[in-house]
Amino acid sequence: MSVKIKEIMDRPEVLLRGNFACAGCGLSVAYRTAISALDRPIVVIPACCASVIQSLHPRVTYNVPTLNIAFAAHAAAASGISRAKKRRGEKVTTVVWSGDGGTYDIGVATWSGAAERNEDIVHFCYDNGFYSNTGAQRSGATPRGAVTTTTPIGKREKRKSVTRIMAAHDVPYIATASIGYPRDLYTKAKKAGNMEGYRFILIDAPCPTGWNSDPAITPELGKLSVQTGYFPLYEIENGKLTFSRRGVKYRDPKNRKPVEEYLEKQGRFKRMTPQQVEELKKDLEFEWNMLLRME
Amino acid sequence: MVQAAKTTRKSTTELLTGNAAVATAAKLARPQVIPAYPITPQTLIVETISGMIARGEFDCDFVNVESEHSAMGAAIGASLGGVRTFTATSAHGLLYMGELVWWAGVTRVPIVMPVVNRSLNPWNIWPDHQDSMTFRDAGWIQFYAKNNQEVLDLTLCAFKIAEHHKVWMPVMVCLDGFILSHTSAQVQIPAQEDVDEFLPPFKPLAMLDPDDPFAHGSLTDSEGIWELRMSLIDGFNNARVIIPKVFQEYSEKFGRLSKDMIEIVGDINNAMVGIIAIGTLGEEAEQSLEVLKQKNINAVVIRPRVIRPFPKKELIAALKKIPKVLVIDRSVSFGNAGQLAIEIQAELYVNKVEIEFHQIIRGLGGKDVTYMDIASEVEKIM
Repeated sequence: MSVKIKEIMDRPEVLLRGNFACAGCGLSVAYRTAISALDRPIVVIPACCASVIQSLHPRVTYNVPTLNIAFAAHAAAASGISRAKKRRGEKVTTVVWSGDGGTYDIGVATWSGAAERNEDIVHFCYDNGFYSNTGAQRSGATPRGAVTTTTPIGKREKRKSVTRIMAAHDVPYIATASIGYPRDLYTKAKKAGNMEGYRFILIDAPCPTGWNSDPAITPELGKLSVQTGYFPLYEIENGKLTFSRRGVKYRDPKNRKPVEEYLEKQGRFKRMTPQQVEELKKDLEFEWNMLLRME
Repeated sequence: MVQAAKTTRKSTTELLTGNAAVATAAKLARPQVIPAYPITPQTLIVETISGMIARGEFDCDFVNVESEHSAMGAAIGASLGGVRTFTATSAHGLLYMGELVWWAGVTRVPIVMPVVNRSLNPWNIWPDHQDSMTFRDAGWIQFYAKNNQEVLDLTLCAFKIAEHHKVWMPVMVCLDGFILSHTSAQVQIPAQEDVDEFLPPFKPLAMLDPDDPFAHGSLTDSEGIWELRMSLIDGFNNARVIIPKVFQEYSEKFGRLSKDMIEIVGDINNAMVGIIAIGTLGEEAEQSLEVLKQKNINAVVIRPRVIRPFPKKELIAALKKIPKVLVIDRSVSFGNAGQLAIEIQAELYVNKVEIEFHQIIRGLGGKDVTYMDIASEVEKIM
């Protein structure tokens, strides 16, 4: 059940003017949309672009209490906050706001532990498929064929499926969302915020600086990732996967736009050979098949 | 001099291991969140606390996290969430949480953490001070206990000092693995009511609060870092004043400990030589005094129980009274010398103290150091 646009527009602004985000930053759209959907959020941010765009101490552009913490300690710090606030009898929403490096790679142990303990945390991973903060190095989320500064001829391995790893923890709520569909993202964030236990939302967040794409088409790329079947939209609850209304039609490959339409708009895929494109398509098909089994 | 306790309530005396003394102190201090990860020889602390909570003796949220890195991460979160927070670790656990130990230190999060001293690589579970000494520059106050009673006393004081608004920084209470952690000794346990009077509920100086948002630990330029580091230095200067005050208050209330950051055992005014050592080596050195006396050597033990802030004034005042000193370190700053020796030498030079200075490194990897060993080392320099 989607919320009304007016509700989203009426929420207090969580990301203030003067932040350091690049033009066309997908993360800032994701942050504004998702965090504004939550009631009394306290946000934990590990090393990532979100730890940099907040402006310089003592100025801060996040309009919510924020704890900056070490790369691999986000969910642990959030566990501490969540437990402390329960002891104090304060009602808050404890949030992890992490990039894909912090979620797919260095922070796996911390979120896996917190998910196993079913800590009362909403964990958002804004996923741009590489280490954007440190200048575009490969991450476990980088898709096959993408050029990064540490994969100068394109990544040779497929992208990791973090949602399926999370699903193995049987947490109460898992969802994917894209900044191309902010209403869907807001609705999922709000839904997660009203639940208890460990909740995880993976957000497709284009990064024009690292992807070498036109900043003006960031929302379009967010839509194309879904429409081409590159980034499926779904929720997983009680071990059951449901494709979201916004993305369910792309469950049928016939309805998907050719993935080349998505790839050609990004400089990072410019050097892909036709064979690599075929391999990437196979990766996507493999992921779809794995997801379909969870329906 | 230990003063008579003003308290009228009864304390109890029990046989406790060092680890049980830590757990008992933790329970008396009423922390609300304890995130921890087990490691030998600290394990009995987390096991004892888990038992106390399971039996309903201790109302606390114990979070058995998946690593020490997360233990300190969660401790930082809990403390900034506004509750009294405690954890404990040892050796490799301390190294693994190292990034967060620094984080808590320099951003001044008032966590209390006993470190059960244990040797580092290759695998060895026996005591030396290499683990905690490696973190003496991480922005934490550091205490070293000589026996199980002092473990309990210093841990209780640690909470009050860490949470004092003029200090507001984390405290490490170091106790030698096995020698203290797994050895039972008589420990006087104060009554809960007395501890509650001594240590009122946690009052956050800064707290993550949706009604008053701020960003903790955010991106900071060189000017800002300078300001924060200067504030940390000020914090340690404040701690130099607050620690003796809290020790004094504790001593008056419970009849143990004294206001001093260093303990002197023996007649310093007639001593021919001083022995400086920390932790159980300090207590072992006390035993050597009698042996030395029989050989007509008047010695005195000078034992710092606080290493950060470094008790410079107290040490220099003591060292000015003796002609000769032997410093025994249980850790090494590789490429230089024992950490205590290095720091004391610097103070001697700055204060222009004329003294015959000797240093040795002993007891690494848990190698036993007896009072006879210490006595013979002193004899060698006489």
